[in-house]
Amino acid sequence: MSASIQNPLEQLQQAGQALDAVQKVLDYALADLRERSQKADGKISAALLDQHQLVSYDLALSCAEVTGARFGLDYAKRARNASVATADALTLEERFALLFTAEALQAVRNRLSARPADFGLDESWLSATVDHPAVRQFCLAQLPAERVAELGQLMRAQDGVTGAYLLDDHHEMMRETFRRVAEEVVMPLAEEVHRHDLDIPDAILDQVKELGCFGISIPERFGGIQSDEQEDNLGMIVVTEELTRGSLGAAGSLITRPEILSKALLKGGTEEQKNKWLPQLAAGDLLCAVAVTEPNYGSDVANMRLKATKTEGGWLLNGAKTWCTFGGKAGVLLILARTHPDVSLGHRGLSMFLLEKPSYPGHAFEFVQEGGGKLSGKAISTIGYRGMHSFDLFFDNIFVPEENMLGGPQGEGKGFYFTMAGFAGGRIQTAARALGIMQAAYEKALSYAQERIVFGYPIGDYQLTQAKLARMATYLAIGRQFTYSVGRLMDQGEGDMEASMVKFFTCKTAEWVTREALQIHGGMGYAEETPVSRYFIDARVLSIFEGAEETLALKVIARSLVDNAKTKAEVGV
Amino acid sequence: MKILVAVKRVVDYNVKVRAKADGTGVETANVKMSMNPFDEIAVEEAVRLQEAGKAKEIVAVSLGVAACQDTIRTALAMGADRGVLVETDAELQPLAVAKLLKAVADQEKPDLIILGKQAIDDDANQTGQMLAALLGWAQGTFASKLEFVADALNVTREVDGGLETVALKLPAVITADLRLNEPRFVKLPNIMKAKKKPLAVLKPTDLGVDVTPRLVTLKVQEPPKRQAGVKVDSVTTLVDKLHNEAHVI
Repeated sequence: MSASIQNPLEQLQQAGQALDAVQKVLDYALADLRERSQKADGKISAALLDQHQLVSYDLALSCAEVTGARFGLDYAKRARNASVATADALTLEERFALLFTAEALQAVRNRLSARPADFGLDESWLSATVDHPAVRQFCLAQLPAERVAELGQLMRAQDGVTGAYLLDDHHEMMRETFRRVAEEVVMPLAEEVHRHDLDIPDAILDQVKELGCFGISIPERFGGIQSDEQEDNLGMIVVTEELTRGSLGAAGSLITRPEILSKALLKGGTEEQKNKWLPQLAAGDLLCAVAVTEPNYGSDVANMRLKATKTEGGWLLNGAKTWCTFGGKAGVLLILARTHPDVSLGHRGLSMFLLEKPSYPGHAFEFVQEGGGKLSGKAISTIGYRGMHSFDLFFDNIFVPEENMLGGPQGEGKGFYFTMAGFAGGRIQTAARALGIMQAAYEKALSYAQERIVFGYPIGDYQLTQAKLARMATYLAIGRQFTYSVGRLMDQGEGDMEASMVKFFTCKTAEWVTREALQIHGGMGYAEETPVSRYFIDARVLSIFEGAEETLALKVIARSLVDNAKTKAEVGV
Repeated sequence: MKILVAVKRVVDYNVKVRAKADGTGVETANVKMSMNPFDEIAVEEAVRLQEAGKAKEIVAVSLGVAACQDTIRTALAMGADRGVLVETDAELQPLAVAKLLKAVADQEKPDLIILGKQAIDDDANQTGQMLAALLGWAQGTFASKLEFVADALNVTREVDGGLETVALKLPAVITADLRLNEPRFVKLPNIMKAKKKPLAVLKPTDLGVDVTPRLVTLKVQEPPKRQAGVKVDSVTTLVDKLHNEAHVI
């Protein structure tokens, strides 16, 4: 077959050209969607865009895959430069990038050709792009069963490593350290926390605190470990990834809340507020939680109802919040509340507050203030993601002093923006959590495939298992590099939309990877005693929290793609 | 007191080591490398002595390819103050390593040198002893406990059949055994600090040491695959098999 004779460089070039062709048709479809979502004055109407949700979702997913594939090709190039591979042999990383690109092209083709008219496309657009002979040839060369299985065989000789990570020295040192912490401190306790819905054990909490994890997103001048000049999202990503490999609920999610809170404080806090709160957060002396979601409003942040009324020296909070993860142990809550009674103001009527409270262990608490204000919390029973505990909260005349309004008096009405600044950090951090679960699941799947004998041979000897392992490793490795690349973009102050994209993509992928890992285990995978059953259950929450998949796809990714879409004339024909 | 710690970059202890197809050595291309675990214990011990106020400065030394800088950075993140790399692409055997370390010690003039008792790649267990001999210093090998008593350093050694304690006069060479301590996890702030600590790079020629190997590796091969066991139905058969097939009784 011609593809095996082609040298790696040529194959990667073909992949890049195929992606260019497909990007063009996606750009055209976005231009078309933009036209259909514009009001008479040319502005994009959210209501009009909502009439095309299926198309919006498919375009968001397709663009995420194509973006991932591009980062994948770049990764393959960097990996080759860092290795001693010969020019005519494919490296593992090149195989990942090629398989991923081919599958992405195939998936985009499926979506567009299922309902071309909905995307504003006709047959000639399809045949010039997704069905172009060069694109088809590339996919046909990359996707034969034998070729996919060959990658699976290579993965069997890799001890669970999914490609080079290509981190610089200090990030690699962070990764190695937390890999060991996960293995020696987290993993021995993870099953028990999950099975009995325990609090996160102090052995884990204290270790994470002592190693400085809570200061990972906080600049040095506020007691954290980030340089004062530039953000270091990559450090936060690798530490999260490795801790989550140990457990999502008992370790990997500990950094999320400080991440959100510190990003919100850095964005909106006054100097006094930053100086007061950030050092305590960085040291881990003050644990925190975020209370934004309400019983009737989740990702729909602008409609929040929790009421804040002005009183002497501060504000009184009344109402309910839900899904406040870690709300019991937290010593401070970041609360989004409506400070302006006029609901029609939407997000412009919202402000953020920092409420100090005692730290409570367990599944329920009641905090009564001296003045009689009361906050009660009860953990919601969940199928997975145990350890952190997510609380229903009820605020009954809870007093917050006015100096605890984020941004001071100028912060009134800006709560929504501060929330969003925090959530961008939460999204990339959640992509990292998805990577950690996938890596854990993949390692278990691989080792079980080597040991488990069926019909006389280890199941890893069979083609179907090899194909599964190849695809799991591919999606994991490319998803990881996608996440790292977006983290680097964020360090430059960019990549907000890409953070949503990579969160959307990796979390969705994690569901499938953990499903395959469980499936490879057969009956044992469904047994509670096997960690893969936990990974499967835990992975399910990823597409729900930190921006539900649908909201991210429709309201953030598609919206941003449409806002920035080229015109049809710019796309050309 | 100044302490010199030697750290070696080896194939990570979690990696399943494979022989190269041509039998010339062990596969190291695309293989994860990290600090020899016994050297980690050596660094940890030095850091503890510093924390206890016994040591002023810790210098971490590594010998080998440029990537050994990563290993030194790890030592710096654990608490060493500065690093020295003697950089060479040549194969380094224990005697050459001992000579290089002696040359570094001549420059640095430490009071104590701590090394791992052996490296997990070649398991030679020779460097510490050779170094002590070349320097003419006292040696405490396979140390499981260090204790300063007046002018002497009492070293508890794990020997066959029990523990032996020797009292050494400084300067001395110590090699660390597994039970000397449990190395700490590196803290994130210290990883950031390690980036800024000084690391000097020398060449063997700067130290006037000839590192030419004196031993030749003939062949490296993987051990034969272990055969599956069999179940026997009686003690008599077991004894018979052990005697006539396995030839062990």
